[in-house]
Amino acid sequence: MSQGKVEAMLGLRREGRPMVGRDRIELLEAVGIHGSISKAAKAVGLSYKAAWDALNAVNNLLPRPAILGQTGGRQGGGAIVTDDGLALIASFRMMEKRLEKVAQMLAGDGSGDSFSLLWSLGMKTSARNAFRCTVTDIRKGEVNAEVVMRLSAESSLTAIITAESLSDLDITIGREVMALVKSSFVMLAPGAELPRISARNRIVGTISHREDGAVSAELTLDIGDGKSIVAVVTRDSAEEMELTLGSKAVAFFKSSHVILAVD
Amino acid sequence: MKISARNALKGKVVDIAKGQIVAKVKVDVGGQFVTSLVSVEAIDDLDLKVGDEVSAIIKSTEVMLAK
Repeated sequence: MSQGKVEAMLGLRREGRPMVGRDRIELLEAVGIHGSISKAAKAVGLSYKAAWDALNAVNNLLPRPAILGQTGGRQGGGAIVTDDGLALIASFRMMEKRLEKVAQMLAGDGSGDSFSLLWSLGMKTSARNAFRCTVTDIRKGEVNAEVVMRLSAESSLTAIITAESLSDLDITIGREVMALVKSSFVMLAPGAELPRISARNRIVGTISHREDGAVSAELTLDIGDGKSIVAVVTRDSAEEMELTLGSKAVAFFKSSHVILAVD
Repeated sequence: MKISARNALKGKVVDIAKGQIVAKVKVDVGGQFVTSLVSVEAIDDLDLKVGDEVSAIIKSTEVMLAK
């Protein structure tokens, strides 16, 4: 990436109206700084008319105006950026940052980290269980690292990932991460008592959904806090253990079966 | 203990090699050995020692077959 940095341009447009790009966002920021359209126009090198048109385009993008004030006065009057306007600036800048990252990855030699690339673009995964958690503890070994996360008020999750992943993903205490668990990795035990088993992740819940196939059964466990875990077990197991709707069960899975992702 | 896993192989722990995070546990299941990698925390929690009777639990989706 040494020769010629690639620059990606972000433009937002609503239903064919004029495009709002970085220039207009900069103008909006200038209004925030100077408190008037005429001064903001001067600051970014636009005529008052051009600035006024540009800000109209910005206002058209949002359900409510981005700036308020005596915009029509001869001197331009005073103008303020509304909360919606500030939010637009913030999200534009954030999107721009992400776009920049993606652009740099695309500009790489082609052996770039495609996983990160897809994730930045809002990757979807096939894993049925994706939990947004906050990291509460990290224990690091030579090869592996154990990451403990808060899943809900009562439950936590443990993941074992490589120490290299830990540093690559810059996982630190307090950071938000996504914990992914394939439903086929999840085992179930009937009742609310935690089985004495080496699996670190054991979460009690209530069966809220069951779908039987010829061989497999897919069960959803409501684990409180609006969260649920999906497990796919054999239909034989589901029947033997009488895992019926409304009954209590423990979902458990190995910490090495938890994948962590960050955005 | 009732659990959904189809395979529970009863055996005896013959070796535990602890790392910092993960431990390797060797289980003698009727003359064949099953090796399990579990967290050190789990070893401590279960108070697992050589000579303990354990079940090696393997979800059927995790079993590979070779011919």
